[in-house]
Amino acid sequence: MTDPKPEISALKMFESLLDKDPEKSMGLAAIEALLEVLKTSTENISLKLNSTNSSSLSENLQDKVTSLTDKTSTVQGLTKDLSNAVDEMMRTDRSSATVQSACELFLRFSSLISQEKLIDANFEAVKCEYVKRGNVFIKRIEKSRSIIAKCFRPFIRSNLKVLTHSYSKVVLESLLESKAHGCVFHVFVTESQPDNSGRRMAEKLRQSGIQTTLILDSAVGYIMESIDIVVFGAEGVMETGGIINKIGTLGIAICAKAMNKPVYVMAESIKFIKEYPLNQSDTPNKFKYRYSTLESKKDALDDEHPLTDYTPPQYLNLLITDLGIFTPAAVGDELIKLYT
Amino acid sequence: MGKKKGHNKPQPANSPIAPQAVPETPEKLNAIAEQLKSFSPKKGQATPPSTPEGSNSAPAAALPLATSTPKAQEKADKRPAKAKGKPEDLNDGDGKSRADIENERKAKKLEKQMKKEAATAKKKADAAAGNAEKPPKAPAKEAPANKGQKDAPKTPQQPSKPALKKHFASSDSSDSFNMTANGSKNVSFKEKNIQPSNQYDLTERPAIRVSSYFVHATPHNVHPAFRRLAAKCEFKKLNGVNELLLAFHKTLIEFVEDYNPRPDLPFSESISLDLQPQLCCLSDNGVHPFPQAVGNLIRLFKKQIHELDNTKEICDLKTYLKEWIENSAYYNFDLAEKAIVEFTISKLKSMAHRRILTYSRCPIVEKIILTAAEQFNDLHVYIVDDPNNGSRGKTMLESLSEASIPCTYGHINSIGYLVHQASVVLLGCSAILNTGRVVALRGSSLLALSAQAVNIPVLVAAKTCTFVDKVRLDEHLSTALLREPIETIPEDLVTALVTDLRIVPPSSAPAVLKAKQLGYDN
Repeated sequence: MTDPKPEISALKMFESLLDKDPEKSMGLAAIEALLEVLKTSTENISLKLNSTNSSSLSENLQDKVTSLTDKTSTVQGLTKDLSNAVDEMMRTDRSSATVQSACELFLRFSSLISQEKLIDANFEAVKCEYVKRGNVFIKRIEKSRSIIAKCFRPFIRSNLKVLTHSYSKVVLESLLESKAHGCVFHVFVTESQPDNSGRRMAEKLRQSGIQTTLILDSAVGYIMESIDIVVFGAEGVMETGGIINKIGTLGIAICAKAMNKPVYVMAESIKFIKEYPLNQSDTPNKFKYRYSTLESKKDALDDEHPLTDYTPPQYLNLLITDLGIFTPAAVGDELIKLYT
Repeated sequence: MGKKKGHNKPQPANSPIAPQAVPETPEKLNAIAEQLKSFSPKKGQATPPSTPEGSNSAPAAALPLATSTPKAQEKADKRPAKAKGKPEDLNDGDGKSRADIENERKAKKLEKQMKKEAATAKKKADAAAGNAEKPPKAPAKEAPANKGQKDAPKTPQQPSKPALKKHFASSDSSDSFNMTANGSKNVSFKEKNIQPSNQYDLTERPAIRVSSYFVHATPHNVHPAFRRLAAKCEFKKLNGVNELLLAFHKTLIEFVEDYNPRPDLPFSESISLDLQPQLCCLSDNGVHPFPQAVGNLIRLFKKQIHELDNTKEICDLKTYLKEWIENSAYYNFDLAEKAIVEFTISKLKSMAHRRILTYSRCPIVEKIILTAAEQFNDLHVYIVDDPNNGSRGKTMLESLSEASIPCTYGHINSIGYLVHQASVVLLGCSAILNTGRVVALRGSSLLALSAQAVNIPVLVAAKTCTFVDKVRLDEHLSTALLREPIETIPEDLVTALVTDLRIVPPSSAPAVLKAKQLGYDN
């Protein structure tokens, strides 16, 4: 009997995946980490069971005991392991909205196993099902960015002026794909303080030959009259149809609405969150501040600058996702379909 | 009957319009009654019309009928097509039968027409005679003088002010009315269609009629429980849709309990046949539609009856139906209210200042606030009330004060002030339409509108049993049991609907309908 493998720390796995490939979608990394936890917990538990074989129970009884424990405590134990892993990953300083939504959807999808297979006493088969479904889910998610990029192509015409905010990988990929298909357009990117992430976006865009201008956050009002469309990514899409995105998004969206410029949001379906905020103060703190801030300054949050804001659905025109192009009102229905 | 812009009230006895000819009333009415009879529906058991006698007893003398013109004949021919399916036999002691009212309307229309014709003829005559009297100036001078005199509108026999008459005739309203000092309630209008908005014109008919199925309701085939329900509503013992629904559940249970099925029909058919007169009695043969939530209940009940397995014992079927009704009451009241309260409190939890603005009295909102007060210390409630509609907010105020919740009470004129103090608006509703529009007490939309103007969220507590698959309602029509005035709030003024399933944006109302299978095609 080999030694049980060391417990994999989901958070460490998550971080290492992202370090290896900085372009990877955060949600995807979270899901892959979870899948690893799933696989390794399989082996751990089955090893534990085998080690109890040497007890003095009669063989029949032992089989029955193991089969019982297979069905009840291990599936429960598995779910517990996974939710522990999710909690651990939420303690990241990266976007926790994405991590939460991705993990919850992944868990729901994987555990959607038919009743017959659950009743079947062979626990190994159940485990394999989980892992198989997990892989299917991951394959689908890997393609989501390219699906979104394809959906977005008709929106870009030549000589268009596009405004975007901060650094979003989905928006980047979509713009690069449009460029690769021969569209010529001009992108304005906001600097997006406090972390200056707009600068990274502008560099990447320039590298692929797209004409880019980096503008101050405060210059959005000035530039809006010459803009044709506004594009955002999203850290999370809410049940209302509104989005959570880098701070500053709400201001740009309101400005665009006031000047009648269309606002499009690009988000993968794993970013759909089952929350219903009514206004800024109603959005949960775990989405607004990073984990380390929440821990260190639990009581003095009023002095902290939030890193994200909530843009209500009335300022958004369309949401482009890998499940299709929706109006904000239709997102609620899609969410329900995903979560049931 | 099509709804006309200048819809008319029945004429008061001291009408200024003198009867123009000796009315050949009985024969004409007979003829009209015959035509109506020939258009009555095949279903149902319409009893033979008793119109001629009924209408004769009505104040026929006051009915001016210009029966001589051929136009009256045409109109009488056209009328029955519109009045298809109207019962002409149900004289519930209204005083005027429908034929009478039709005749009055016809007469008025004819008169207007004749006035117009005479006016145009006169104008032509004047123009021909070279009388270049300019219409706008003359009435401007004449109108105040006329108002002061409180004259009746000119009949064609007075040719003195032709231009003025044209002005009067072409505009739809007469300029004479009596205003009492009070202004709002005791206004008596001599001729026209102005009515205070809080009262319903009970003779109005809906533009589009859905049901065409009539059973004459007599004391013999209507269960006393339904009559008791109607009486309670009449005497305002039941306020609001919630109380009405609960009472309706009880009434249905009583009905099923005492019901003895007909021997020749299977149970489900016989009970649905005998349910008809009960409902017709309440809704005046479909003229007054039921409130939406009640309509839902009735439809689901009928569906249950259809799906009954007639091979079982009658007492089993009865217990099944009774259990279904009790379950429905339990799910839609006890459980649903608990769920709504929980969801709302989870939203209130995340607020910094819990200052709730609410309108009149909704029992669910009351429950929410009472439960929230147990959890939160800094609750403050602003109650806006409508003094014209029973001041139900005062009851809410009393019950909240008993629970030591700080409250502020104001009438509807103080909305502008109160909305600046509040941080969230909580409203009740009586129905939710397919598009997400909210049907609520008249005055609620003012709160929603002001809330949007100061950017505070509007939450509407809506039970899933009140969702209807309709797109619009005739709000000015009174409903069968409740006579409270309602209105619809547009869906873009509402931030969220708190239902017992989950918190939902108004645009997702069809999804809720589907989930609860309340759609009409189910």
